[in-house]
Amino acid sequence: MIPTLILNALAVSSLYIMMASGLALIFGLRRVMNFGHGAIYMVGAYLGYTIASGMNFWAALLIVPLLMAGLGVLLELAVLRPLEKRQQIEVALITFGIGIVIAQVVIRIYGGMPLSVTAPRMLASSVKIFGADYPVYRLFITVVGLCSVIALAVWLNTTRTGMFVRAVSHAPDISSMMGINANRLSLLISMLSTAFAGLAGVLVGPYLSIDPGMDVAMIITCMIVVVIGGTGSIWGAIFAALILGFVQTFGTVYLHEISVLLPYIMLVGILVWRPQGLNFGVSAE
Amino acid sequence: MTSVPLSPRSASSLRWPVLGGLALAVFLAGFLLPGYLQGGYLQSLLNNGLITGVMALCVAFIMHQCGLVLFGIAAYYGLAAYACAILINSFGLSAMAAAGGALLVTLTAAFLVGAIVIRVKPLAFMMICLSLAELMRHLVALPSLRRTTGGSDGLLFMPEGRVLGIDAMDLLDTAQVWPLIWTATWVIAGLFLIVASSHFGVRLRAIKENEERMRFSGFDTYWPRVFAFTGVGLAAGIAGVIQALASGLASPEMFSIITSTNALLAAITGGVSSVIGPVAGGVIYTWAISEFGALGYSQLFTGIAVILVMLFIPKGILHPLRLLRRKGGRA
Repeated sequence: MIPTLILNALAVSSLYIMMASGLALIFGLRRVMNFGHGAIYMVGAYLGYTIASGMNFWAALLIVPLLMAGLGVLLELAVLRPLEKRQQIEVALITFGIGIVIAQVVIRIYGGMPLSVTAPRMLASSVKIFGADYPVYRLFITVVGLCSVIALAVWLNTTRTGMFVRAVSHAPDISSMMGINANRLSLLISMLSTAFAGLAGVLVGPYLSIDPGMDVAMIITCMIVVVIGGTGSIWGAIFAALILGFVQTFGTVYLHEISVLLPYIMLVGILVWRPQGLNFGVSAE
Repeated sequence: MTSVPLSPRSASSLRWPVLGGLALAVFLAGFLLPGYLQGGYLQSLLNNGLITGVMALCVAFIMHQCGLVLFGIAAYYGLAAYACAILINSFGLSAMAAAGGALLVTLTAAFLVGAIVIRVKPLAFMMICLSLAELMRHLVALPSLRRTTGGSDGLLFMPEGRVLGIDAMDLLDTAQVWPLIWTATWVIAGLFLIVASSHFGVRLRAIKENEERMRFSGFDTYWPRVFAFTGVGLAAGIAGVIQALASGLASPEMFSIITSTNALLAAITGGVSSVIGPVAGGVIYTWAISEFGALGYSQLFTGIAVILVMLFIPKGILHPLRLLRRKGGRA
């Protein structure tokens, strides 16, 4: 029972990590909280459904993040860059409005009924782990999620571009004086962030259902993760996503329906203890 | 006898009595409105518009006085409505006692939340307030609380007794509840104006400008903002109680992000430094949402409105006119 729960928690955490790290990365670079991130994840899930139905799941897994990276270019060039002089909260609200519009367009196209995606045949089976049958697809989500975050960590910590990203997040003015092109980095990070959201959207299809409220549910969870982790702290967000995944999964089993309240209780509890959030490593605020 | 032109000083000394007289006339004339509208769609639109307007006033007040974006005002609005409905249904209280109890519950909740969220940065404040409204939406829809909260269908109730001299059952009539909504809007707007021009208001704005300097100057910067937050939560609670009594229903939709967004939009469009603007904004948005809602586009409208308002008039619809007037004055 416990090993199964731990694996389930890791699968949920992987999705949250992909979403929250993208959100924290954009915040670090642009000081913008992208309230439309949930809608991008929703577009990813619905596009994943279309491509998986028309072609196959693997094609969706490859094409959707690429398409979403294209949406990231649009986000950067049409929204974040022209509005970089605007106040943080104004831009956050604009992205929120964009999120509502995107979600409504998706609902107009696909309708309001929940949809489901079938997992590819090779992932549809289950394996025995500690004597219990466990779905391979959930293991796949965990592996993809954790591999992406490890790749992100390696990229941020070992490459020159990663070092520039950390530098701009830490001290934007000094980095700019040192000749780092924040606009070029921001374009890259926007693409990465939306591609991660798209990937999470495709992965969620066969795991949970795809429904019209998924954008709001995810953006609220991401906000909780980002605030608990310390606004702008990438490692804080990753750690908070991990904790939240575990709390939710174990809560669902042991506390049943009360578990939907756990993220909020956790948020309030941590803020009473540390108003700045967990805030590991670099924080943008 | 020669006429003496009014000096600027006498003109300015006349300004407030004239404005006060005009306000009193509008306030009194408002009570005659149901006679002209005779219930129906327009009356219901105005009632809902003023309720949104009161929430917009709350958002505008905290934004203007404290520089905080309260993107979850629906939490206090819905909490008060549910508290009132539960106190009537489960505890058998009269409508007036339930309304008083609901406001007490909302006041306490707003104080406790304020004590926590005031300590965080403005962006995190915005996100937490929104999350708390979602928490409430989930809480009232819990299946195990269905007997108390009505679950996802909402909670119907039948109020008894009188509320401020009006029979509680009569409040379900759009025309009869109007005096209560109209008076509450004026009282809340008036109180916000008085607080804004008081020493407390000046202190709040000084904290907004430079919290650190105020702290170094020996002022407490925490509790004034907590009290402002509590007051705003209570005012939103009044709107929630009235809405519950006017419809005989408390529903999870009262906590929705769209409720909070519309209040925020009305506040920003009307201008956060004014009291008339947010109320007018509330009425206009309620009308627009009702029109677009009939076509099935209410959320799409809200989304587009957020983008356009934040892009073009983030300081309110009258701000460009004020700038023009200032430029004209200088010229």
